Amino acid sequence: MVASDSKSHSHTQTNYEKDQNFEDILKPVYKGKKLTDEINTAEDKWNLLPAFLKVKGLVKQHLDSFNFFVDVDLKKIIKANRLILSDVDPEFYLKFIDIRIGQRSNSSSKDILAPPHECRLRDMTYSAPIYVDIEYTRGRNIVIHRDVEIGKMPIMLRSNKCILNGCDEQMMARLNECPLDPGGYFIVNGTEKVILVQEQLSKNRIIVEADEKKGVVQASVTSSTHERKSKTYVVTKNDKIYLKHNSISEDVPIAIVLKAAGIVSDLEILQLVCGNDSSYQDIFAVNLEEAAKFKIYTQQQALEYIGTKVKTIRKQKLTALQEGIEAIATTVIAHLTVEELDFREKALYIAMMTRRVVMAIHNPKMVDDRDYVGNKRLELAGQLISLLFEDLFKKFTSDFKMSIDKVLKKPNRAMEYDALLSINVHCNNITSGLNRSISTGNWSLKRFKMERAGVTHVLSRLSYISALGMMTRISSQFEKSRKVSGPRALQPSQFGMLCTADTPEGEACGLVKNLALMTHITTDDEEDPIKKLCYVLGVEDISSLDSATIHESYGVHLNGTLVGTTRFPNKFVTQFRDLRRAGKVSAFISIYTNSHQQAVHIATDGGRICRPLIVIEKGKSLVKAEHLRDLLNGDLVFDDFLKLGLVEYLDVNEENDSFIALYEKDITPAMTHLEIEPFTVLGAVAGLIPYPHHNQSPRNTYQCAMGKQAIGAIAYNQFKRIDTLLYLMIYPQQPMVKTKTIELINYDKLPAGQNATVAVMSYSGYDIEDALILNKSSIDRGFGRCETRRKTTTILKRYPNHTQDIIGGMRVDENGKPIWQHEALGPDGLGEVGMKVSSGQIYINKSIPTNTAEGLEAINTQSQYKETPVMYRGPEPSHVDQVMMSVSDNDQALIKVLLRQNRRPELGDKFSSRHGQKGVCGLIVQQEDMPFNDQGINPDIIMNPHGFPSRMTVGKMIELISGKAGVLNGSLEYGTCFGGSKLEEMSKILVDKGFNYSGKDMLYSGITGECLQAYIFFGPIYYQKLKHMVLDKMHARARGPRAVLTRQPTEGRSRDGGLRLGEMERDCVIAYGASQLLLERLMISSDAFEVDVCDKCGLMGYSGWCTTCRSAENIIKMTIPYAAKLLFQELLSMNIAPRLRMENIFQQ
Amino acid sequence: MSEKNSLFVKDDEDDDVDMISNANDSTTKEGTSSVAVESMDIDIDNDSLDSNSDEANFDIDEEDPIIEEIPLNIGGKDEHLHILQYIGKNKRLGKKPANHPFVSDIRYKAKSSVWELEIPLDESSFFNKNKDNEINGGDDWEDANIQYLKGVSVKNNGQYVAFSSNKQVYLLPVEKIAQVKPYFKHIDDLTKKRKQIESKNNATPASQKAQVVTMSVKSVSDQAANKLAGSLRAHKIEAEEDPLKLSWVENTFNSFRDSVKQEVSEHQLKCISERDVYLSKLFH
Repeated sequence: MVASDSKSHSHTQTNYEKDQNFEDILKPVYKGKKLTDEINTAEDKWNLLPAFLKVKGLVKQHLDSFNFFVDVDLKKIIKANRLILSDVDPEFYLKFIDIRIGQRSNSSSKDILAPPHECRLRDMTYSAPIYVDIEYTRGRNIVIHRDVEIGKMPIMLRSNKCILNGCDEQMMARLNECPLDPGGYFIVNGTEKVILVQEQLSKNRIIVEADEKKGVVQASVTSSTHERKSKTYVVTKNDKIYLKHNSISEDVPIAIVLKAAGIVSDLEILQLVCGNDSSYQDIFAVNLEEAAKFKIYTQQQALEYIGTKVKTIRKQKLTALQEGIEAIATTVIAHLTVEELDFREKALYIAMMTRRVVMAIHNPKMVDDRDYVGNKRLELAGQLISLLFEDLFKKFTSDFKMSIDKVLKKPNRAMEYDALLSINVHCNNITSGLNRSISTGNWSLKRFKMERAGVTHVLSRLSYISALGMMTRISSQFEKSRKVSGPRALQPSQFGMLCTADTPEGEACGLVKNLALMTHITTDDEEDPIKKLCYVLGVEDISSLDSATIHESYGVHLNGTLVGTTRFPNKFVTQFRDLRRAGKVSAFISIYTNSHQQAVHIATDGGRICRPLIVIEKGKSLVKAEHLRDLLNGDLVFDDFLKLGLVEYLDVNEENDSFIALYEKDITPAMTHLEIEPFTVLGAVAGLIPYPHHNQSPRNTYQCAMGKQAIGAIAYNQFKRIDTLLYLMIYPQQPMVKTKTIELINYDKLPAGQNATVAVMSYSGYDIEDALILNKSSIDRGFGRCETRRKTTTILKRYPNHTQDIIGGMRVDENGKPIWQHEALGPDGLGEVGMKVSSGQIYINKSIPTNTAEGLEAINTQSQYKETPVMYRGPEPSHVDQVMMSVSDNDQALIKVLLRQNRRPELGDKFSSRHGQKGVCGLIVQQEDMPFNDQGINPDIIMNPHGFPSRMTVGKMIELISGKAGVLNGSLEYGTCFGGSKLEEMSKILVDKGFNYSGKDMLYSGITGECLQAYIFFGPIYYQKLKHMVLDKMHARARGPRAVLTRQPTEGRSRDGGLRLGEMERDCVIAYGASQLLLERLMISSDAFEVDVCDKCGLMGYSGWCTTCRSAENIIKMTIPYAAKLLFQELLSMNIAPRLRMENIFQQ
Repeated sequence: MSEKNSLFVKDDEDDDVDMISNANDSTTKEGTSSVAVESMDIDIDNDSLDSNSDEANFDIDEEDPIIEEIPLNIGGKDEHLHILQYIGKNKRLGKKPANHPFVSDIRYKAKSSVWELEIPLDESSFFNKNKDNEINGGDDWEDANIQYLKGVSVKNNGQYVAFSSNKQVYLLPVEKIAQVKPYFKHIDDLTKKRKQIESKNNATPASQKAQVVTMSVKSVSDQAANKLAGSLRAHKIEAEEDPLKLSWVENTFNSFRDSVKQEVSEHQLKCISERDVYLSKLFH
């Protein structure tokens, strides 16, 4: 049968069996329900979600995109640029036949790469060689050379070219990798780099916009091909329609453009643009006069007219006619490049654009929304690298060609020329080009003249969630500084596609988004088979369509281009969808009808967000209990649901063409789809929040920002990592109140927080403004304790004169003991593991040679060294945790020392619950002074009740009740969005265990022993410790360094700077009339400077001598700020003489 | 526009299909002509997509009873069918051969597949003879009494022309479709002429100066760089290509039909794949 066949096929294809990560989730014992229990479709269809994630993974979009690039796109790039011909020797050719990453043609297995963790430690790039097969002429022979390496390609972790692909947990452990790490990033020069998902307006689609104030309507299309990018507009100007393009100097009347594209008769123009609609005809008719005004009647005249307006620079001179042909064929709407004589496709495209403009003029509502998610495309790592690689490859081939030409130009060579000998010279360009772009984030593409900065980011390893959050992040191309609301607003169309809660606050608000949990981003699919399929399904080809009737039936648009028409759009769409559900067409191709435009749109392009939904037929969900049972038994995987047509992917546009039921009980006969789980509207980060549907929405957004700052466990290999800065929690706990998302993303295995017993009450005055009271004994027991690990890297350089940096041993005093500064050092001059390093002590005793110049005298002189030790600075001592010495890529010794600091919570450290309720520690109280309940339980945290009324975080209260019930019941409760453990059930447990249903307890004062006046809301809430800690921020200074230029104290904690008495503080002091204080703060304690001023000329002299007056007669010494003196001198330098006129204030 | 509009031009113009027997063009097409293919409509071209739709239709048409079976014949071994579509032709002319414009001259450029038709205009009505010759605002259209139609033909795949005879349907694949449109050669000729005169009159010293033609080894390589690409090259080829002069023959349908029948009866259509292979293809 079909199903079993295809299943076994898919099993052999991927290595699901080995992947143990998701097995537990797939067999959940949820609410006491086991595998053998009855299946309830309405409740249990959520099991599709772990099945989805098992196949897709959390960062599948990145992996898919990269896999697509290395397997498909790369080959296309090679095919498009395969030939190198010589200008000199017409006989010579060199052809790239094939390209592979990390695998030789003859070997069945992949190349063995340096494992990713080694690359991290040794500051190397995790990359695989790029092999090409080359066919070329050597002398008179044609030679095929296989497996020529042309550079190295950085490999995305966990992609199919990565050695971790298909590894089981043991193998991962052996490679020092965390099995929970999602992958999807690169390691370049030892740092983990993520290529953020970029959001863009979709390419090659018509967007119609109107400016109602100016009365302008424009249809624009951004054409993007491998070769070029350009934008074509059809705009209105004075109620007439013109075509606008960057390389055409003037706006061309649309009728002339259409004539140039072969639609010569006015009748046909009118038929194509307006059809039979007389109101459209009225609007458009004036444009026909426009062409007549220019006396343009024939195609040739029109082409010549356009040809004279073109402003491209060419090497070769073309006639106006040729320029016109070139403009119409290639420049305008560049993604439809005409190679032959037939312009019809293009003419129709321009006519369609014009029609859309006319429609928008007629009905202002017929415009497109730029911010609509269906009009957006996401650009992922694979696409971005593909753009970059093609650029580099083109450069590579042109360089290679030049060097070949150089040799071939010489007429008499002794032996026949082997072109391959010189290929190695250029290989480095590809490798370094890729590495440089990924490590700097500067994407410069020559052929598009595009410069983009900030494409890549360092993967934030602050917590597991922050790393995961980064992988699902989408950055927009909009400028952050612009004050526009549209692109930032929450779009209804982002339901289920983009997380509704997870966006930063402040300037990037709404511009940076996150993917929802169950999304897929498409990769490019072939157009041609789909086009063929359309014709088979009865679509009539445009090349044989009559202009008069074209608008009487529905147009079929494939990726924005009209390919034909159909008279029965509904039938066509249904048949197409049936084929897709049958698996005959790729599942990610979307089709939908737009009745306003009378069009059927089919999209096969990459970068569309889509999500799976259950198909409903005849009012019944196709997913039945037996399917779910098979899923739980492991007989079916998610892709089988797809193949069986039970589930299908819909993109935003098709989603809008469907009728989706949220729950099974809501299904009516008209409905087409059913949600798998409503909580997938949230993303991975927002999924941590328990009961988010009870919270005020901004609170969830705040938590999304804070969840990424929470200190916790980051990965199973966290103690093997040497990162620049790492925060780890010593005793992390999984939350009492979980969500399904937490289980799905493995947050329970790598948690970041602890379940604190919270009493919501007031205690002392140290809990105002959200401050928290902490129990000292809790801290002693390890609550909120964390560890910071900081890395120092040193490279021992080699110099051209054969000297190199060295590590000295320790210096000892007269007793043979090391001096204090060197106490932490071992005999090798590096800090010893476990030693304590205090401020001022040295942990790498490095020296560099004084003379590094190359030359004869350098050899003669004895090598001398200057000490450049690495000294520890910090308010608290650290311990040496790890010392690593290795050799980096370029053969220089690399030393990494990891310093560890153990921190317990102190006053001012920041904590937060999972509901956007942050607070700092205001007071640490002895346990005996804390209140206690009947059982003698003290709270870990006391939180002020004023935090609730205005914040309306009801979810937090329910979390407390569920948590308390869980503790009493010995179970973990769920707070999943739109679901989770019911409050009534939780209250029932509380009552059964002898507690109040509302979670309130009677508490006794720890100080007086009397019971408190009110019942106190008391129970466990999951608290996160945030990375902002007082120890890293506290700062004070009496005296210290000053800036060289102004002689004022330096700024900032890192430079031991002063604390500024700013403008507003100054105003206060002035208001008080405290003039002497002002003088002291602003000058004496800052940059007081004594100058000699000449009373006569008013200019400054020096050492009692006025250089202007050439006398010492009228010199007066006075103190002014150095900055003032600097200003005077700077003014002097620009020919302005500021003269001081002095008066004696003590006269009279 | 009339209510007949929903009909497509192609249907309208089927009668205009004329065979242009081209002796030089020996067929390379596999074109096996046919005997009836019964019951299952398996196409000879094993296009998987094609078959997909068949399968889909099976599901839908389950309850559709078979009323009559009509044998299908596939021809097209010797014929080269080009369809000419008269874009912008008045609908009312329709199929009446009497009103059909007489084609006086027809040319075909085989390499660039461009058709050119000449149709003499009816000078007796609605024809301004004065406009023809007089100088009208500088526009001197010489002898504009011929309408030129021109069109690029496009390769066609999957469309057939059919006729029925003796309760049998004969299918002939369409090779190319061309939409022929009027183009105003007289205007272009006029502009060209005017330009020539202009350039003669305003001969600038730059254009008069004799150019020194240098010959060197280097200039050889320049030629490669000067090559036109894409559409420009296609236009150049078209401009340089000599058209094939053909003659327009009408009222040949009966003989054409007979020849097709003849041809079809001579060839036996063989199925190159087996039933099981085909069915397995449907499911994968």
